[in-house]
Amino acid sequence: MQPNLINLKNQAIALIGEAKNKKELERFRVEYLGRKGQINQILKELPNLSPEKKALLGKTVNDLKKAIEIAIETKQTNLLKTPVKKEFFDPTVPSILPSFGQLHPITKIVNQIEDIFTRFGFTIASGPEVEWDEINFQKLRLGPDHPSRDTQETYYFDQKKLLRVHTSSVQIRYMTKNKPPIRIISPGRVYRRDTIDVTHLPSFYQIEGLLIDNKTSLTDLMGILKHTAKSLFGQDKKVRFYGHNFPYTEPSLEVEVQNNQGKWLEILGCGMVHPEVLENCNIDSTKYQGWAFGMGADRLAMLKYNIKDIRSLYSGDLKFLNYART
Amino acid sequence: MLAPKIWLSKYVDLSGISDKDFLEKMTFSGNKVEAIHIFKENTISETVYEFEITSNRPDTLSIIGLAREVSAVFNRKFTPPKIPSTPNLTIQPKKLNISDKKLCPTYSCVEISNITVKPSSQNIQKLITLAGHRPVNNIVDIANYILWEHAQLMHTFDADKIKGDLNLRLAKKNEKIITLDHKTRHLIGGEIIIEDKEKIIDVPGIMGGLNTEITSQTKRIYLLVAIDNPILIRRASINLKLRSPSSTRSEKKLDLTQTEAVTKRVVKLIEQESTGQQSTKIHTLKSNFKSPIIKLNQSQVAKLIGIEISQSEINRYLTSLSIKKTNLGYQPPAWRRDLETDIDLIEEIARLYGYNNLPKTLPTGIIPIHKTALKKNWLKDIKSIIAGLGYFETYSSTMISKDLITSMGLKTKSHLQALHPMSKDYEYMRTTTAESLLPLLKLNLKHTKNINLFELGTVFYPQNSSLKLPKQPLELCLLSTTVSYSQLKGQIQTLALNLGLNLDIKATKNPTSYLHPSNQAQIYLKNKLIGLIGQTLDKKAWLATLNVTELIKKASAQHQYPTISQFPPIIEDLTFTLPQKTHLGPVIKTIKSTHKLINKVNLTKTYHQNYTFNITYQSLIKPLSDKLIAPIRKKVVSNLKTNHRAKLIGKL
Repeated sequence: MQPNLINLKNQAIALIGEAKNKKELERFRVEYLGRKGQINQILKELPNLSPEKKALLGKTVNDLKKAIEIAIETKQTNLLKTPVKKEFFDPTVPSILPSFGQLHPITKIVNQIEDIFTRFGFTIASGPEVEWDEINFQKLRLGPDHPSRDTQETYYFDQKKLLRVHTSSVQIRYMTKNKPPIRIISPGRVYRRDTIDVTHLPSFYQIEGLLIDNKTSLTDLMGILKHTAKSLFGQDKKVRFYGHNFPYTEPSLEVEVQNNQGKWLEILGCGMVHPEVLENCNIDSTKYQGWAFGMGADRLAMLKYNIKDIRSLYSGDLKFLNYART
Repeated sequence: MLAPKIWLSKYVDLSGISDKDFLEKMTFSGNKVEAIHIFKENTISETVYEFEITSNRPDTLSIIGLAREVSAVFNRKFTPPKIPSTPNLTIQPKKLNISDKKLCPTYSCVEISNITVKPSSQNIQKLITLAGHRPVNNIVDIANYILWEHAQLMHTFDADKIKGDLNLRLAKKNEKIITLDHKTRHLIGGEIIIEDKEKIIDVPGIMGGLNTEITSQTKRIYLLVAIDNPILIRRASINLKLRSPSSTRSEKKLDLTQTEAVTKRVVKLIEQESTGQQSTKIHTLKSNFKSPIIKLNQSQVAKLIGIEISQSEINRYLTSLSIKKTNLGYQPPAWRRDLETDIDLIEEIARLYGYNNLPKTLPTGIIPIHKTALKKNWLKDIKSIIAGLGYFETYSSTMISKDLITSMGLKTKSHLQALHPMSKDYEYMRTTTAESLLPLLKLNLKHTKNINLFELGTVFYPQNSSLKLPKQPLELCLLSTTVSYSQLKGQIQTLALNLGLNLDIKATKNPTSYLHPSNQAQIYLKNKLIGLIGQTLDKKAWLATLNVTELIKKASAQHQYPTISQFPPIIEDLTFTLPQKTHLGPVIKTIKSTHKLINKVNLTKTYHQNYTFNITYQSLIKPLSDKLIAPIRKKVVSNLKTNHRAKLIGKL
């Protein structure tokens, strides 16, 4: 390479390396690689040279050009790496909250229970809230004079139609229509003619489950309910069972879970489905048996979210519903 | 049921059992102890257990019944009360004629003379007071004592006020009796009553008549210890609105074999407490009740409970409950009329074994696949989408008041009405979720301007036929003070798109009374009216309702994802002047339907009557040129001119 070309290269690379900003760098690019730049000036001599020299000079200039290009590119990247100027920034400035709603606590509880049971192959079943007396009571062994009708004061529309007092009516409908094995979970609103106070409203939410097959027994019911209680309230919580009485199950049990203060809270009733109930739904009780349970979603929500007054659940007051923003 | 510890201790040894142990073991066995009360007087403290008794166990609505349970649960000896011997008299007591033995299957009666009515002894007073009764006099206190100890009703009449023989029959309509509380009771017919030659003197199981009341002058008592038909007692107590410890016992299946033994105890107590003397023999009508013999084997127990329990253990549990083992099977005692079949016995075994001692397993059977099993849980999706749009979910009462219905301009006639509402606030069933959300607007405006609420619940439409249940679809309601009409419409359309559906929103011909008369529209799904959208009358909020049952019927998760064109679109703005009061929907529809290459039309600007539409032309199969688009554009302009009298601004 000719000495003047070597000088040119060294000078160019040095200048490019020292460029302070993009603007300066661009100036050097124009000076060397521009249309009227130094490289092009040299190439103007080419036509006057012998073919041998032409080839040699051509190659040398090309190398030179490449070297300068690489230098510019490298410098460009380096210039970009230069730290951005610092500014004042206040991370404690108030947030602008997006518009985001909330599911109701009852829905949250129902969703959780549905999730637990769908893992065990249960599906969701529903039925009407205004129901026949026959389906709500009689098929569940609650005849017209059964003493339990006393504690289940009922809203009637006429002699035969009423507001269901439990979602067991859904179980009756499902068992009548489908053959075992059966695994369903039925959430829904139920009604009681109660005096309104902090724990009683004319209606509340219930979630019931039913399993019928030829393999299950009481220990399965207790196992799945223990799992459910612990899933809802915490794996460290204690769960216990005791005897009770419902006309539609036998044996009948109630379940309690211990809260953080050590107090036992009743959370649900359950039992082995009474064979007469199965027969009322045309299921052969000598072949199949099963179990059912029912829990108050309101009550569970109140326990879980520490809600004191059931009326606040049904108030529709944003001060309550928008719990995260108060 | 209040059970004083000293009273229970008369029949079962409670020594060494702590209150905590008592509470837990009794509760676990199905005899729920709701509370333990401690009463302190001077240096003596008395413990009273409060039990919750289930309706199948009237036998434990008594001290003796509970003592038997304690004996079975703690394996302690039960000592029944001694039945005193009574003199062998020949004089018959006054006769009680019974028209139908079904009304009163068993009773005992006797007369006692020379009584003095005075306060009962300290011992009786103390026990019944701890059990929650107020001491009155020796005769009343003995009745309460016996009721509590045996779950057996007794009734005492002033024998000198009874004229002639007694007769037990069903009441006729409009018969009357003044009861011991000095109230006139009008009978509706069908109640069991006892009358003498002249008058009705008792409504058994409910309350006695004032006309034969025991007073301080009473010298001679006619004592009747009977078990009446529980169903008739229950109906009477409901009809007469008279619920008492007596009626809650006599409406259940009580021991049909104990009236004579109880009568002997009463006679003895009256003699002790009042110096009276038995003056006739005890006459008893015996019931022909016999406990059933129930077959049960070990494998039935294992099948239902899930673990093997040995035959000897089974026998031990059943024997502890006085259930006899015979060659043919197990025979429950007379006081356990709730035990009728094998599962009744299995329950007894399980509760005494202790539910908490059973292992916990999980179901191993086949997971069923029914039609419903394949259905998606759309409700969960819908709720999440709406909450994501900024709405807060409410659960309102589905029962509403007449005032609310009329204030919304609706008719009570179109609402289901409950027969015996507890309160006027909860009398009718809502026909729309708007009836639930509109009142919440006022409530929340008191403390905030930004209201976004939704509710998804059942609404009720009465049917003409009484043989059908009302229609009960699920309905969604959105209520918002922060959206415009276009935004709310966009939100419900977004919801529908997520369910794979398209909604049509059309002008209303019959405006709804509770929405702004002009600012409302109807929502259609495939030509079916499924909802409303409109502004509230006070113009403070927009509201939409949607029939979710119909939405879900047609919903699909099989979304059709579009093919993206490889060719660039041509996008241009056209501005038109539209006549006043032009509906924009049809205009946009006209533009879009002009040619299949027009695949998007957006309204971008409005200025007075000038509307700028942003039109996108695109093809999936070829690049577009202005030459290709020009005739389409021309057609758009002419279509808008003919269909909507629209004038293009500028020239083509």
